[in-house]
Amino acid sequence: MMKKYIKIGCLFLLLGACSPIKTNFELPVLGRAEIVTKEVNGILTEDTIPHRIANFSFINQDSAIVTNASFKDQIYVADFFFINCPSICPEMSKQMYRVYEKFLENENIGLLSHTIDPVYDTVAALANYARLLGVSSPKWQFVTGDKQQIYDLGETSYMVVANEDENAPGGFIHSGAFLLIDKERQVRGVYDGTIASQVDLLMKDIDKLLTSYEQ
Amino acid sequence: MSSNNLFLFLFLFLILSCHSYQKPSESHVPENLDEASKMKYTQYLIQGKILYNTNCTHCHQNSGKGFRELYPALIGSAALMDDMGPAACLIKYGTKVSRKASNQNIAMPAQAELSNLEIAEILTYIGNSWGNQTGFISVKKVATSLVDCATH
Repeated sequence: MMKKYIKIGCLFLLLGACSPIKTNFELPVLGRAEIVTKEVNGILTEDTIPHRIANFSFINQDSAIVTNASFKDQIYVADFFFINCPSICPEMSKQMYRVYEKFLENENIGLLSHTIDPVYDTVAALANYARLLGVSSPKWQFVTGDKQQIYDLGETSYMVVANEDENAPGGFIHSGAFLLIDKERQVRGVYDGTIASQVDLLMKDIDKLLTSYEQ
Repeated sequence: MSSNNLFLFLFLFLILSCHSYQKPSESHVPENLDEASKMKYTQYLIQGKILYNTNCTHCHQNSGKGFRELYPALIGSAALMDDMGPAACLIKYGTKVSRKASNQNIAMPAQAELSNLEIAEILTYIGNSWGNQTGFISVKKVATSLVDCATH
């Protein structure tokens, strides 16, 4: 009997020990790497291509074009929303606003919100939304564009759900995730944008990622 | 005390304690009401708070303060407090924002599934919390207001 308790105790000790060690780990690179076989000098070799955000081109609230190049010297946080969203978006905007406020003066960070309702969320509507929220570009960009490109980018690059669904509240189904993207276009973290503690973690991870670039 | 007696005691204690409804701490109930009215008032506030938390807090927040200029505050809003009738229409049918107009506030979604009683409870809670003191909003008042929503 005593042995059993000691075993359980050890397990808890191990569990407890994990968290302080883990905070020193580098952030993971998320997504499945692609393995490509190619011929170099007549020899077949395998090359590993890490998962990266695909090329995109959208228009922001100031009618400026936003592409991957817009973030070449920045890490950024991406999410998917729509203005007339009755469910989780208001909370997501509130949480993203916390990130905005915290890193307002830091030029190494950008925020990128994609609308999944481009028919309604025109450039003018997005500009109005940003005005009501009291935020400005280029720190926080709200982008619209080709609907299919937005959905495809969401599902294949950012690995989140973003699509039309007539059964969902407001007519769209989408994840409330915030994605942390590094300067190499790689996904380094996924956080629930509707939960304050998850966004606290995101802000810590942003600091950690920024520090890794300073070294 | 046998366990049976103890059970009976606890059972009665629980039943009796149900009678003393606790209003939400942020809400206000007028002093000059008779016991029955006070109880009904309190029931509306309790139920109203539950419904508010489910249907309204995403935008207007637990505090009723709203968020930035996106979602208006419900505290001390004269337009809201003067007459809760239009507010009943807003909850039930939402605001109609033209798809072309961009210089407006964000549209409020319709919540057509809410019953008149539920709307009365929500309005009683909003109208008498966080410093608001509009008084009791009855189901009848909601029903009458909903008849002429088109004129608001």
